[in-house]
Amino acid sequence: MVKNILIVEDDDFFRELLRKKLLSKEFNILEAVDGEKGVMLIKEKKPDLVLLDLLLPNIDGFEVLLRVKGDLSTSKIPVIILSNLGQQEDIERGLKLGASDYLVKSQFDINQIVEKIKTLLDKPHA
Amino acid sequence: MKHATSALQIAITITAVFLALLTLLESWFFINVNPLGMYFIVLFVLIIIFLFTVLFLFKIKKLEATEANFIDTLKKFESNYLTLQVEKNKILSIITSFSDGILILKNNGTIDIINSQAERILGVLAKEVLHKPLLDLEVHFPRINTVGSLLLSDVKYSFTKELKIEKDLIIQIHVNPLFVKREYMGKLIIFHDITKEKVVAEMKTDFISSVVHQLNGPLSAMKLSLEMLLHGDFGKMRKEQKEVIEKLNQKNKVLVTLVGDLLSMARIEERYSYHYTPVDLEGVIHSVVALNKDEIEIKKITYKFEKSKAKFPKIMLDKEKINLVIQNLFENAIKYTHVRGKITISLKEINGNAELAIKDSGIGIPESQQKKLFTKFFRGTNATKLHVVSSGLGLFIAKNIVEAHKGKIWCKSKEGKGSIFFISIPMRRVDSVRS
Repeated sequence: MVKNILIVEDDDFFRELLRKKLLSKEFNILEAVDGEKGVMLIKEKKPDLVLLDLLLPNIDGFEVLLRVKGDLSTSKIPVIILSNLGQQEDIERGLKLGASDYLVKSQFDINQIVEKIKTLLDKPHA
Repeated sequence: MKHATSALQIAITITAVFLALLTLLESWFFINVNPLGMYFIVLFVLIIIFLFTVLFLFKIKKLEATEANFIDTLKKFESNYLTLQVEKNKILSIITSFSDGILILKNNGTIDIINSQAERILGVLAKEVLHKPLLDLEVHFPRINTVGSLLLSDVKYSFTKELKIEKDLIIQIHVNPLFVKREYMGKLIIFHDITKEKVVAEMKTDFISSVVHQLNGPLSAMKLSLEMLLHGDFGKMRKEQKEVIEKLNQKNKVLVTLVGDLLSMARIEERYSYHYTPVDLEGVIHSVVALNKDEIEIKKITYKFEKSKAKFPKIMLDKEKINLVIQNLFENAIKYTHVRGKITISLKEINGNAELAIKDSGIGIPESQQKKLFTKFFRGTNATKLHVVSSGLGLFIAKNIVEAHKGKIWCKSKEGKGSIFFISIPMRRVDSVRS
């Protein structure tokens, strides 16, 4: 069964590259360019996984995570934070809010990101 | 002189009485015509007079000497007292005109001295608080209430703490217990207003963070697109094209690392950006290792953590910055260790210091270059040949952070054999500071 991945990323070029890579791995891709749209799509479409940037227009990624994890209908959806913010306090905050993983863009290459996605999607979610 | 005069008067009186009695006795002998008796009596009397005179003269001399010493001592006391008064006035002038707030608490908790800066910082007037117990003043003055428990803590050693008294007032409080011959006399407290410095430091960090994030955006996109090009996501490339893209990818990685390290440098060079909390150093080590486990697995490195069985106590550290130090050192150990190499981390307490050692079986550092190890942008010649991505700032940043914690960092290394990086930080334990 084809898995749906929602990319919440305001950088058009970065989002396009991610979409291309993930489509080549046979995922179905949804996209949101800001936090509000991200929350809306998560609640409407219930994707299998969310790739979430933190520095977003409207509401930031932390707020998106808070809303999604605070809603019973979406709290089980795994969220991988994919951000340029690499400070320890940001990583701890993201994980504390319920992110399944926190990847700093500068520290992971695209194949590692894809592997992380596959590992999470293969895990059963209670 | 008065005492000497009294002694002389007494001596003269006694001699006069004695001579009067003697005259009576002589008269009796003269009347009864006994010349020999008279002779002996006179001789006896002369000897007695001589002895008494000598004794009295000796006493008088002694009294005079004592009097003179006493007067000398009094003069010295007077001179010392005047000197002390002058010194006290000097100190009071210094305290009054000092740019920081100064407060002196007596050992009974009352305020002995307060200068105008301390009045401003605490929002009080000297006449309202002098010679009054700090504990009683907490109720009436909100700012004293904020700092009161810190100033009255029964800690008997010097410490420094940052406190936000109000929205626009951040101060650094230095508390110094005062002892005279091991007897506790009170406390000298210095209030240093760091509000402006904090604001400037925050503005600088915000500016640099903002610039770095703006740079990181395009750098990340470049990184991703270069990786995808190399992986063939945009079709197969000719050999020459691939070589160029590989070099570009390496350069991009260096740029990404440099931008990240520049942000770290900006943060560590701020004096007021250190926030000390109780930190579980073992936990920090475990989380750094976990973050790098993929790299360890890829290179099949054998990793070991050596420590005592008992849980290492929590110590006061800036967690984020110490994490950065351990991360830098561990990352270097991985980068410069070959496939199937070994890395060992050890943690122990030595003479009141937490000593962490990260040992690797890597390329080591040429001896001639070891002196420059902790300088900005240093990279060993053997390291540059490895084409490993590095900004050359990691060890400089680590040294700055360790020294800000009043610690030391050093390295033992042999080219071709490996390196051991040591950091030693004084263990300020959580239970030794009453919060």
